[in-house]
Amino acid sequence: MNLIRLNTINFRNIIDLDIQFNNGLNILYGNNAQGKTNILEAMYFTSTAKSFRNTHDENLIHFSADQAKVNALVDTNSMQKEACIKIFKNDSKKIYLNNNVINRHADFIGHFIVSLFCPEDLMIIKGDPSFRRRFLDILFCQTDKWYLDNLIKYQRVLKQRNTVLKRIKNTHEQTWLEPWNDQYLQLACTIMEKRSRSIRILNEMAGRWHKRLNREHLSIAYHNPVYTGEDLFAEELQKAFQKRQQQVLHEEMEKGFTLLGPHRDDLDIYIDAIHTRHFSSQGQKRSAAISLRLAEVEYIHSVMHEYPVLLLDDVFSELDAERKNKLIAVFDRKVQTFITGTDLSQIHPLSQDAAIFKIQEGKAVPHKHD
Amino acid sequence: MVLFSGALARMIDELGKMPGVGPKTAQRLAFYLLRQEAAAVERLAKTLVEAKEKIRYCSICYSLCEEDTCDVCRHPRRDASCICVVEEPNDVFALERAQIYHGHYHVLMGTLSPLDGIGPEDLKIPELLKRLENGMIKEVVIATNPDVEGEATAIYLGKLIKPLGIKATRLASGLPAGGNLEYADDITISQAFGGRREL
Ligand SMILES: Nc1ncnc2c1ncn2[C@@H]1O[C@H](COP(=O)(O)OP(=O)(O)O)[C@@H](O)[C@H]1O
Ligand SMILES: [Mg+2]
Ligand SMILES: [Zn+2]
Repeated sequence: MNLIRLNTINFRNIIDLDIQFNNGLNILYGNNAQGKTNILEAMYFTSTAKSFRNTHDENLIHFSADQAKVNALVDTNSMQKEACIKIFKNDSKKIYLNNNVINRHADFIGHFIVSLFCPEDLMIIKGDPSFRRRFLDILFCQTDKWYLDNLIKYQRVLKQRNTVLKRIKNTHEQTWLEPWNDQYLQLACTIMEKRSRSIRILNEMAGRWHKRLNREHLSIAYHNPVYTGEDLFAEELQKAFQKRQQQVLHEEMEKGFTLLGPHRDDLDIYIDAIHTRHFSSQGQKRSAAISLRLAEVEYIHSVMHEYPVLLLDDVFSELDAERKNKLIAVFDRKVQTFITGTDLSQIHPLSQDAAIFKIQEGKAVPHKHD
Repeated sequence: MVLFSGALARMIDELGKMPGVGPKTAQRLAFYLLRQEAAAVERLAKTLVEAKEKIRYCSICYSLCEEDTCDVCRHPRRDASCICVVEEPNDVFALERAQIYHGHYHVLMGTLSPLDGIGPEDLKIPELLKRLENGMIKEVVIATNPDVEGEATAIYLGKLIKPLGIKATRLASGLPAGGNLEYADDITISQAFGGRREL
């Protein structure tokens, strides 16, 4: 996939930007707080219609404007598509794909995929389980519509089921739960199966990348109370899940929420058999996060038969020269890549034929090669 | 800045209460109406009031009609042994347009949704069970939407109906995921009917 052109109006501090990009490497450099991350955020937004910074949509609009627009011309499977999103002050937005209005957010997901590497990825390793579930869900939702559909339904069923659990706290009147239990079970198992299968694939990919870049052994494993390592067939899984569910039902009614299911999953990440979250060094955690992202890129390629566009935000400043060179060599030329940094001399030697833009006060000035 | 006030503000406010009509559209509609001749606006107002007075819910199936019962319920040649259960009155019109179904209907007036405080007693479910008592009904086709609330409602009804010895079927999900009957095209509706499965 390629981002051919980005046109952005009143997005953060970028008042009016219209640039065409290189199919290979693109470098965005400039001092801090000039808008480099904002530009990557705009790119990410045309892919997912969400920001990667945990924020309300209306905060994406320039302080003095009441509406923002991002418009991306992309090339996927040799087809050009135009994605356009308008963001409004009341936190609402309008999504267009090839000038057609997209009503459901879910119908927009997956048309154009980016992989973002950023310093906050560290949270995938050291943050609470929700960061790891988010990592998995964004990846699987973009590459599997069935998963996306099931996950949306699961979250809705969960809300309904929890409401019932709260209501029957005193009566334990189970007939109210029944209409929701079938779907809850079905959806939970579908999601768990997909996660288990795909995490095994990601584990192999991440392990390979990690060995190549760090000469350590990285492994990731699905952490779910029903899955205990070996593979379960759909029927066995449903039986096992139902049995566990029955065991916790009483406690669920006491607590008033659903205790079992993929909404409580986690991912165990080990380096040389040591649990990274609690025991690894900061540097090890950082490189583990990078290996997970590299696995994500390879996974996307294996499913979509195309590479995502890579957005590397400030990742180079934290790597030593050897790792930096290894990382850039990984995808050089095959994959369109955007790299941000403050010091051009640190990034530039990485590639001779990169397109370089200096970012200053929300504007991008093409840089002439000397 | 000149703000809307008086009759104009009230008009925009009322128009803006309708579903799918935001403040901008409400203003456009208001200015459009003000440009029309008095007779045209009167005709519109009269039509609205008249429709509201005349149209009511069928006392048997809760579809819309102008008499005590609807055309379907009164039709002598419709299959009285089959009832198709839908969420809203407009679903009846969607199914009728497809011309595949020739039985009777029952409109629930919603779906189960604990989040919105809607339980079985808030829907026309007791009324449905009453209709099943006469021993004439052989099949109930549950055509609630394929979203989680529609599905839960179908499961709930299936569990009530099956012990009565009546066949309960569910439309095949040829319907687009998250899609509503209201927006499905006629061919899709026909296929969904053709492939209905037993609950
Ligand atoms: N909604 C907004 N409107 C205008 N400026 C904004 C908005 N949100 C953030 N900014 C500005 O964007 C700048 C940060 O841009 P960023 O892309 O994160 O910098 P960097 O170049 O260091 O990556 C800050 O100066 C901030 O004030
Ligand atoms: Mg930045
Ligand atoms: Zn009727």
